Amino acid sequence: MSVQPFPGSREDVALVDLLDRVIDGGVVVTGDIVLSVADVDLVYVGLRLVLAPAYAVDESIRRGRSRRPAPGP
Amino acid sequence: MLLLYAVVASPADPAVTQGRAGAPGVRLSRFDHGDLGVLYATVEEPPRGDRSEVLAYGHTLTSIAQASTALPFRYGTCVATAPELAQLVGSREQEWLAQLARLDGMVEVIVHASPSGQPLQASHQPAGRARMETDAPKRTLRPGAGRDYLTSRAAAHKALEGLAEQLEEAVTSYCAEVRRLRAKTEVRLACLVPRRSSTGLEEATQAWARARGDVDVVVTGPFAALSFTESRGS
Repeated sequence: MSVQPFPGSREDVALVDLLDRVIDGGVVVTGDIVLSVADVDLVYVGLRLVLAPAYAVDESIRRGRSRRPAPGP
Repeated sequence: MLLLYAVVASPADPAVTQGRAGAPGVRLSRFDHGDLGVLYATVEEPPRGDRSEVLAYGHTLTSIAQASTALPFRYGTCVATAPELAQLVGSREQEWLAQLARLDGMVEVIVHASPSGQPLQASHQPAGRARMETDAPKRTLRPGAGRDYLTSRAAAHKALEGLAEQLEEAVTSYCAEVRRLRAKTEVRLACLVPRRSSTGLEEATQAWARARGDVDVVVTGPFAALSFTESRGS
C-alpha cells in the first residue's frame, strides 16, 4: 500500500497543525513543574487528559463503574 | 468562568479588543494589568474539548496574532473569576512581559517535509533488501517483526534526522528560532518568523524543495506563536 506523505489538502494539514499546537503549545499556568519527573514529560500526557474536563472525566468514571457488572458470588 | 486566550501588550490593536478578532460566536473581553492585557471570553461551562471548539479557539488565536503580538494560552485554560485572573497576571507579570518582548512582531509558521511520493521507511531501504521483501511471502512483511523492521526503522530515523538538519539550514535565515515538532514519518519544524517574513519563508522552502527534487514540503500558518511559549510553572 502506498502512503502519501501529506494526505489531504494543505488546508487539512493546517487544521491538524492548528489543533495540535492549540492542545500541545501555549502558556500553561498550572502543573507544569509538579508533573515533570525524572526528565519524563508528564505534562504532555496530563494536559492531553485535561482536554476532557475534570468534571466530565469524573462523570465518565462514575458511569463506567455503574455499568460494571457486580462481582459474582 | 473566564476562558483565557492570550496575553497582549498594552495597548493592543483595537481590533483585538472590539470583538473583531474572535471566531464567529466568540466575544473577547480584555483584562488590563499594568503593561499587560489578557484576552478572554466569559463562558458558562468549562471547555468541552471537542474538535470544533478547539478549532474555534485556534482560529481566534490566529486572528489575535494577526492583529497584535500575543502570548497564547493553551486551549482550556480557565480561571473562575476576575480576581483570580488578576492574581494570576500579577504573579506572572514579569515572565509574560519578557516573553511578549521576545515574540514582538513574530508569528509561527510550520514547515512539513517528506520524501516525494513515498514514505521514508521504504525510500531509504537498500535496493536489494526492498526487492527481496517484494518477492518474499506475505508473512515476512509483517510490520514489527524482526531485524528487518528494526533496520528499516533505524534507516528511516537517520534519514529524517538528515532531512531535518538540511531543512533547518534552509529556513534558518528567515527565523528568529526554529523548533522541531513531534512527527513520525516526516520532518515538522515550527518556525518563529517576523509577521512580514512568513511569505518569504514559504517561498524559500518551496524553492529549496524544487531544487532538491526529492522532497515535498507543505507550509502552514501563520499561527500564534504556540510552540514558542515558555512556562516555568505556577
